[in-house]
Order: sequence, then structure tokens, then C-alpha cells
Amino acid sequence: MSADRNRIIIGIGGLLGHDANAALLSGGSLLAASQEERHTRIKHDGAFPVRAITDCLQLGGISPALVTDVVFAEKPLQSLFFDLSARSGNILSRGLGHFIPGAWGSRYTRPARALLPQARFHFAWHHLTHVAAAFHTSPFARAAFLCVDGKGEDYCASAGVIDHGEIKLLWEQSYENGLGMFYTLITNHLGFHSFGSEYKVMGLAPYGRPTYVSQLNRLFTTDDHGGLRLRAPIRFTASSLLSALPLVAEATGVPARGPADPLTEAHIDLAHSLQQVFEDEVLKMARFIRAETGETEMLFCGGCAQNCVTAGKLRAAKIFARIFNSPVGGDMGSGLGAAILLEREHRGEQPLKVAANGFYLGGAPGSAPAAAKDYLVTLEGDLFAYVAARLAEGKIVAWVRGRMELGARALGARSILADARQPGMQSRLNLAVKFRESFRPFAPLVLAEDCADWFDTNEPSDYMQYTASLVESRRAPQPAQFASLRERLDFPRSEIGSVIHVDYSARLQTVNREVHPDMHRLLTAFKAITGVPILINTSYNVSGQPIVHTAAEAWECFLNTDIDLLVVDDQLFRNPQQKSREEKLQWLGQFAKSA
Amino acid sequence: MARTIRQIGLKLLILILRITGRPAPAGWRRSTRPVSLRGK
Repeated sequence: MSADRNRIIIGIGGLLGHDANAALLSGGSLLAASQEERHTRIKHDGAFPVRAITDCLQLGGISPALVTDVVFAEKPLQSLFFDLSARSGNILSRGLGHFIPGAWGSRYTRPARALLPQARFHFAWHHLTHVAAAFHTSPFARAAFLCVDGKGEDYCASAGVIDHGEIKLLWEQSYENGLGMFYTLITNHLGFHSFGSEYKVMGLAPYGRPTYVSQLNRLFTTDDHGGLRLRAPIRFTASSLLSALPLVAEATGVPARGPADPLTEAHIDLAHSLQQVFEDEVLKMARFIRAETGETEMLFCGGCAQNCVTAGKLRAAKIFARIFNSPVGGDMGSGLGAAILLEREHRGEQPLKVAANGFYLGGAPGSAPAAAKDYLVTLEGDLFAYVAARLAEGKIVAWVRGRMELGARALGARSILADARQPGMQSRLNLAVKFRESFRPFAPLVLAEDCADWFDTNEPSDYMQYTASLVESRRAPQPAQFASLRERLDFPRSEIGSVIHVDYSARLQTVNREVHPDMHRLLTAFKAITGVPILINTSYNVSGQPIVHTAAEAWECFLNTDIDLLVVDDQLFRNPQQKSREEKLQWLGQFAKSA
Repeated sequence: MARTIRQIGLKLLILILRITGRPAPAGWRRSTRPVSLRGK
């Protein structure tokens, strides 16, 4: 038992080439988790996460020499082996791949050994880390799971049952047949080339119609269980994607769009059709798993589970009584999952439930730079009441408080906040603050206790994992046709138009007093003034930039955008507005490659 | 020297696998993947 108490585990993930991350688990307690991009300021950075590991150790107050175990969230040699052999259907290839000792992965162990001299090394199958991260932060004791992503070592989808942490992996699909790769392929065809742009297509989809579904179906075969097979195998490389793009043009008749080309109706319809095909396949997979396992609850995880529209449809379809969509289902949570997997294995029969602490697992912002002191606002009274009043006046507020959140979404610790009732706020935020495509929707924060008054669900979405629809009584009817995308975008669909998509859907974050006490207090103050328990929440960054981490980064971003006020812990700053539009655009240029 | 032999061995193995291999089957297949971290 003393060995158990002293076990200190670092999980390392994202080494498949993007979103490198680390997590620190000590005695079964999750002390910290950090993403490399937050430190290097390179979006989706996939380099060995030296800074993230160091950050975790500092946050946990643990010396590197005390770390007893390191778990990698993939098997690198197996991954390489499958890539090189390009024949995952070969029994010899699979057999060798499954049984090559993980310790041969020296590509990872060298930098890890330099950093953590005493640790034992372990290697976990990639999807199992997703499943472990999802399960141990879910409310379930036993559940089926569906993990779908672009690529594990040699597979892209897996399914099974997890019972009190014990995983039974029952089925899998080869990664040559991937639904995730298919989404990425069409995303590239639509001109969104930077890594991780699939969410833009998801946001674009509601503007279109399903006119290309049958054409997209020509690119793969499928069965009643979501058993996909792409007609041309696509691998996880840029060259493989590029070589497959002509097939999409041939099948759909829609030429590939360049990143700077305008979005046509055909592109928007293609985005809609893709989302529909994707949802159909995931729902078929879920029905298959329900029928085969007999389970009533299901975990949805892996990179594809970041598609919160599909997660919302999955929940609404009631195939399972309850769905849990992992908020760190993508690779940024795989280090966390790997660490949990090892802890669980060591514990044997002893239960393990991990307190995720709202996923606020990163570092605090620190002090604002000296230059900011001249712009400090002296507050008379409560910060929350003051900020709520300014928001109600139409001000845009950057909110940087406490430890940073893990994952792709800002959950209220590094957020830009605004009043969803203000006319034109969506365009203002997109064009003058985020510097991104004007069609991109924003997500609402809503007090959990008021959620059902506004949306067609009373179920939690604590981490922005699901979409829901605005209740009928709060909808403004829309004309059958619009002259342009701009007109459609600006049409007032409801009192809170900036967070309601054209199909009346919204990507909810329900704000629970226990999970997000800070944000709950602010929303309550805002509701007291306006009667509306809802705010716009978007990540505090500009297009292509990782979410800000420190107070210094927050200040720099503040100076270069049209945000009105900045909160750093208990301090409030006004924007000096010293920079011209040209200077701001010049600063923005450094992030263009990842936009 | 040892590195060269290793590389040649790996290339030969890959060549054999590519020649004798076939694409993965479509759809779901039963998993034979060991789930334990111990051993492998």
C-alpha cells in the first residue's frame, strides 16, 4: 500500500504529431494537466512536451526525480510499423504490431529519460487512453464506449464495455477506413487546410442543405453498423490527403476551394452533407454497440467526439439512456487518460474516480505586466457586479481567472465574454476581436438551473460537449429565403441571436455552481440586471493563436484587439486602444499559418 | 554496423509485409488487442 501512495505518474500524449500534452497523477489524485501549445504558443504543437511536463511538476510541487512512472498515450513503434507496412489487414503485420515490446520506442524514451531519471516507462494503446479519460471523469460506473478518431496505431474506431475501469475491447475498424479521415478530407477540400479545422465545417454546416449526400456516399461503402470502407485508403499525411482531393471533386462535381476563395453555396451544401453523413454513420455505430452490448449508457470519445453537434444528436436519439461525451476526448486529454489507465491497473479491484476539478488543471495567470498598471480600473464594490453591468451595456470583456482549462474549449477561465442580446455582436466579435470567418457561431454560457427555460434540454453540458435547440417559444420565425449569407447571419433569430445558429441550435455550456463557481456568480449578477441568464463565451485568443495562458499573453492580446475590458484574477484593466488597425493586423499575421 | 543491419532487417520485413499483405477488411472486426499495460 505504501508503494501505491507513493506512485507518481506522468502521462504523456499527443505524440502522434499534434496536441502534445502531459498530466500528473499522484496517489490517484489528478494534480495538473497541461498542453504544450500553451507554452510554445504554436497551435496544436506536437513536439515532445517538455514544457507541459515541467509545468505539471511545478503545479504539483513535485521534483522530477520523484516521478515513478511515465505512460505514453500511444505505441510509437507499432504506429510507425503500421504506417510503413501499409497493410494493416495482414495477419503477420497485425500480430507483430501487437506484440512488439513498447520499450523499443526510444524516440520517446530518450527525452523522457533526460527529464525524469527514475521513472519506469509504459506504453498504452491510444484509444484506451481516450476511453480511460472519458470513463474516469464521467458519472458512470459501467458503460459501453465508442471511440472514433483519425488514427490510433492502426485503427480509427473501437468499441467495447468498461466496467469499474476494467476495459473489454470488443471491436475495431482499420484506420484506412476512417470516418475521421473522411471528415478531414472534405474539410481540406473545402479550403480549411490547417490542422484541426473540422469544427469550422461543423459550424458552417447548418447554413447549407443536404444536396451532396448521395455524391459523398460514392466515396465509401458502409453497412448497417457504420462499418465504413473508403474507396481510396487515406493515410494520416498531408500528401495522402492531397492525392485524394481529386476524388472528391470527381464524386461531387464541386471543385476544391482555396483557403482565400469565397465560400459558395455549393461549398456550404457540401459541409452540410458531410455533417449529415458523419452523423448517420455515428448513429449506426451507436445502434450496433447498443444491440451487441446491451448496455444502457455510452461514452463517446476520440477526436471525432469533439463534434458536439453529433454528440447532441446522439443524446437526443435516445439509443442509450445516457451519453457522456468526453470534454477531453481528443488527443489533448490522452496524457491524462494514459496516467489514469496505469493508476487503475495498479489498483486492481480498488475503485478509482478522478476529480476533474472542472478541468481547470493548468497554471494560474500570474501578475499583469508593469505596462498594464496605468490602465488599472479602481473598483468601488464587487468585481462581478461591475463586470456584469458593463457586459449588459454591450462591452466585450476578457476574463482570465484562476487555473487554465485543459482542452480545446475555453470553459470560463480564459474566455472572452459578451452580451448575446446585443444586435450585431456575432459579427463584431468575429471580425474585430477574433479576426475569423464571419459565419462562425458563438457558444452560450447558461445557468444550469435556467437551462430548460431557454433550451430543449435539462441535461448538463458542463464542458460545452453538446448542442441543444432553443425552445420554440423563444424563436423568431425566419423568412424562407435570404438574399445572402450575411443577411441570414444578421437576421435576429431570437432575443439572444449571437449564440443561436441559423437552425436554432446552440453549443451549450451549462454553468453549475459546484463545477464553475466563478462563472456561476458572474452569470447570476448578469441575470439580476438583464433577466437573461446567458452570456457569449468564446476562447480568449485570435484566429490561429493558442488560447492565452499567462497574464502577459492576455495583456498582449488585449492591446491588439477591440476588447473593452480585461479581468486578470481580481484586477480589472481598460484597453489603452493605442494600436491602429494596421498594427493589429500585423500582429495577427504571426498566427496566419495556423488560422 | 549494428544499426545498418537493423535497418536492412526492417526494410526487408516491410518489403515482405507489403508483398504478402492485403488491405484491411471493411467494417468492424473482433479486437484481439491486449488491453493490459503490463508486459507489452
